Amino acid sequence: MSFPGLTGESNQIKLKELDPRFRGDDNIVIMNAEEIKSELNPILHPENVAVSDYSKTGFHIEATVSPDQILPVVRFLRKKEFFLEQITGADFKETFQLSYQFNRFDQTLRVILRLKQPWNEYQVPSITSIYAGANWFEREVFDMYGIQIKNHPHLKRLLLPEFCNFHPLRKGFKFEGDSVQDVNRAWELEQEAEQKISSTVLESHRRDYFVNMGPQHPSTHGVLRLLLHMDGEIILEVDPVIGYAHRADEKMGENGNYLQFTPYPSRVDYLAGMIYNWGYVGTVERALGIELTERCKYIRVIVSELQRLASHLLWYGAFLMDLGNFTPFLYCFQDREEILDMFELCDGSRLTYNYFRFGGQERDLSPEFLDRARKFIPMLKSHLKDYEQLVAKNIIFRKRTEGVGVITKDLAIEYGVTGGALRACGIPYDVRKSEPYGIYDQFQWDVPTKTGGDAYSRFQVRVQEMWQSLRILEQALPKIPEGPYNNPQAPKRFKPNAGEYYFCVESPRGQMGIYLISDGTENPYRIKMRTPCYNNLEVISPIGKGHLLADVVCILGSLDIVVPDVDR
Amino acid sequence: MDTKIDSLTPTPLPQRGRGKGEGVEHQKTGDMGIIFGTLEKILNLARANSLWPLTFGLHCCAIEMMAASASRFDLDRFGAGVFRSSPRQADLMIVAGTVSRKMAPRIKMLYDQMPAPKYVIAMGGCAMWGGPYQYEGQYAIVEGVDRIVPVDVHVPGCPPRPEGLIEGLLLLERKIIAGTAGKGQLAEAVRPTGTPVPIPPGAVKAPGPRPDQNIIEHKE
Repeated sequence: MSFPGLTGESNQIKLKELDPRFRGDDNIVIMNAEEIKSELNPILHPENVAVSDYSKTGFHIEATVSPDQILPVVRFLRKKEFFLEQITGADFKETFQLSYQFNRFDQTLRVILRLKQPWNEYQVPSITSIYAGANWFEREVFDMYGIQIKNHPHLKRLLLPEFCNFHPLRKGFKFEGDSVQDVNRAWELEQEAEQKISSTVLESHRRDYFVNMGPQHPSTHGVLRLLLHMDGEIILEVDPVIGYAHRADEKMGENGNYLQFTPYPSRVDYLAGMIYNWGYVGTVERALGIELTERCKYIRVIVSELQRLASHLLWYGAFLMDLGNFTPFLYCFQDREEILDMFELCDGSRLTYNYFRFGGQERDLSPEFLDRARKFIPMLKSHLKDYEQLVAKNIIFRKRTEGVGVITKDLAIEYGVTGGALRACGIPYDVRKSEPYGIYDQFQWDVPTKTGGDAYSRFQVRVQEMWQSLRILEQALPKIPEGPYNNPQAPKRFKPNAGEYYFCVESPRGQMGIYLISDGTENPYRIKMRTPCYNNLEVISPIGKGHLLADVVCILGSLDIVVPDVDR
Repeated sequence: MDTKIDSLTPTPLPQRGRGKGEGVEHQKTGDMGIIFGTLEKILNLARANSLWPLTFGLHCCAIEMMAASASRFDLDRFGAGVFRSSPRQADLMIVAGTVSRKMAPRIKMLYDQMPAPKYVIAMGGCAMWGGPYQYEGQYAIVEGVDRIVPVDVHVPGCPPRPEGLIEGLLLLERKIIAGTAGKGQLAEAVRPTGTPVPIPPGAVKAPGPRPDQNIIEHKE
């Protein structure tokens, strides 16, 4: 058994193994939707596959499948190197629908498979044997709807406590419990379960043991619990237990109307509030077909890039604090406060924003904001150089991060890893480039990549991303045109046509998308958030194996996890 | 609530000149004045000025808590900057964020593990009464952490600014000196200037139908 985190030698071997696979990216074969449709013909009836209008729905291919077709189709997509974006359940009162969503890293080709059947005879096989990342998605469907998924390795609740006897996302569900009583009950049950585990380990006189990391732990960045199966100081298995930060965002989306949900996305990932605002508002705009004014497009890019800088600065400080360095934390917060001051000028809030509206912004960017932003760029540039000298060449830092938590391309495809974690393994996938929303295609900037796939590469990629964000800001700030910041023609009542829509943005942590099912009324029928941390955290199970306990902290920090983003 | 702490205020330091800077107030003579009081009061004075909070962030408010302890706001100025990762070393729990039902037993456990005397600050609307996540039929959260642990100070906001947390902390320090903190009483809310008085958690009712649902259908 080799432990990749232990010796430098094994790291080098591992990296050599990885290299040729990444360099194969030069000969990309561009596929189009018609080709995929014709190749799907032997498996699916041509009537069930439709090429969709991407600009209106966000999908390229929409297909209806039956339970016996799902495995061959998914196997075909896996062979073609599609990655799993998400699996969504939706309750249509008499029928239930599962949507499997796939996309490609090298070009945008979003395929959605729908499996719709009556509730009482719903049967679906698990696709975890093909896409390991489907594990959590399928457990979540079981948790929220009570759908039994065949051949799933361990189908149990994901977000809610084990003892719950309800499935909240079913339509017509009404919660009638007393939360305090439930808390006491949960407590008793967990005590029993813990005693069982400890007594079985004691009785069997095994060498291995379990370490419970979290939910209260300084370096889990929130309330995340990792159940670590250890042999000495070597990790045999990592089992993340999530749901400690679950607060029913998706259910709340269904309860109010479209406008009432606008403040909530920024609370899902509170480090990227502006970008999540855009993700939600953009989805509704796509569904309603609202155009934006030129000034509004610039405003959105400017605040999003400032938000990305703020988020990366916090990550920089927190990641290094996890590894024992306290100074970067203090330095980075100083710079971050400057950005928060600017956001206070435009939105009034420091952290959780509600700045975006359907068809425009809540208010205009003031000249003072733009002035401060212009002054901020050179300041941060000089600071970033200092930080890099302070950290990047530090031998202790490099020893802690190099070769730790290597994500390979295969893992990224199976788990749907996106963001800096993906770009660190050599795949230049960035939503801003691959499906340019807003006006990102009008600026000159690059997608930084590294080939290591380890924690150090992720660090380097994120630092480079900050420079690229500054580059975009430098181009956007002088060019911002005068004019209205709101589209006066935007409708005042929001009633998208019945249908399904998807829109995604590049959050600091990866692809954040909103999958919206509208039934033509004023309330969203179903809102599913595709949050990057969900997929990026799930990958810790395979990459954490064989490392030392202390390396888990480093891997978590380098993946940049925000826990409410996982739990929603 | 006004607390009389005048009797505990140290007598002002005598001004002394030393060396060249004559007339400069010298703070480190060792002459700290004289304080009269019971031992309990003296201990409370010490406790109030060296709070050790538990590193424990739940949601968004945790970031503002971090910001409060970082460069610009520097919680250490008020004697509460030593964040401890273990509940056994901490005496102040800042509940920063929504309390989910899965997390609630852990919060109670952490509170039980802290040595007495211990104090709790509920930071943000969620920890006070559910905040923006409170609605009829909410299945995932406990609406208000004071249903699980006794809270000394509530700090409203979504999230509260670091200044808000600092004000809450100063209020807690005043309460500790007065000897009224950590007794499991109903806590008084922090009142930032210029904002409406927050509703005490017990008096909050579930909101009725959302106002927008009453809007008359727009004719197209």
